[in-house]
Amino acid sequence: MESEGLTVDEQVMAVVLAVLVIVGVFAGSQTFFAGRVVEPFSELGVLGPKMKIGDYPRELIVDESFTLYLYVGNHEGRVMYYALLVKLGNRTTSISDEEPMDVPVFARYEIMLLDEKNWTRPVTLSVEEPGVNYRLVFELWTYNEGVRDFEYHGRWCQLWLNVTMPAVP
Amino acid sequence: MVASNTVLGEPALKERVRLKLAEAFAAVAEAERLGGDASRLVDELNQALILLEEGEMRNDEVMLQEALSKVEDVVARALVIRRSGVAAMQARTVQSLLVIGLVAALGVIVWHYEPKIFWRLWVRNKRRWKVKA
Repeated sequence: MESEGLTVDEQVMAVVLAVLVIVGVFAGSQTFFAGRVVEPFSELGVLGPKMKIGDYPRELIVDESFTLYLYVGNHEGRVMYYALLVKLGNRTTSISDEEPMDVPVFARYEIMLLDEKNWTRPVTLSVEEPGVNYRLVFELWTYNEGVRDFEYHGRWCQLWLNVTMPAVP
Repeated sequence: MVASNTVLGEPALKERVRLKLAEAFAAVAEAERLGGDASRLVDELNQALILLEEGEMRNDEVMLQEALSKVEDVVARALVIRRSGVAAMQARTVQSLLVIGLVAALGVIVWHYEPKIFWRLWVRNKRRWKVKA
């Protein structure tokens, strides 16, 4: 039995070999890429007092406490040590994905997260000084074992706040 | 501006806890990278972080000391996890090599015997068939 120069035995062998090669390449690639993260990233979020995106405080009275929820998610493919720095700036203080805000830190929260884990925690804050267009900034920093220090991760969130003096009776 | 976790506390002990935390994290990260299960160690380091935060807030040296001993314990245990991770990684490498060898051996066997077996089965299956011209 011959067909276009190949015997049927050879045709069967060719098909079987092709299937084996495909299965082999697939199995090999699965083994090779197992556990690799294509695009590592970290998440930072600030949730409102009801633990949802929304209902953020906007108008506050001096020393009035308010609660927010901070959210951090790790998709870096390895365990991470995060520090969340809270800062208070204004319209003129700058912040970007490259440079953190250059103002004193007034609150700091730290957490270690395994890959694909997240963390949400409530924080209670208050503002002592009245002012308009305050920027309450939350920056995500990560610990770098190489330099043995925290580095700005380029992730940040902000809330705009107006803080007024309490009404005099 | 004030936060709920006002930073206070005994600086030397606080600093020791922070330095040890960094060392512990490096040890845990290395153990995890080598394939060890670091989940319990990470849980304990997070407990130490809570103790550190509360110890700083309340200026409580006992809490800071407890945090320090927890972190020191993690550093010691990370070595064990690291060793088990290395052993597990070696086992996985051997397993991968065995799988590759098995697939190769199967390929050779199929290459040699499959056509004969296939046609024997084909003939056995079709032996009652009649051919009409």
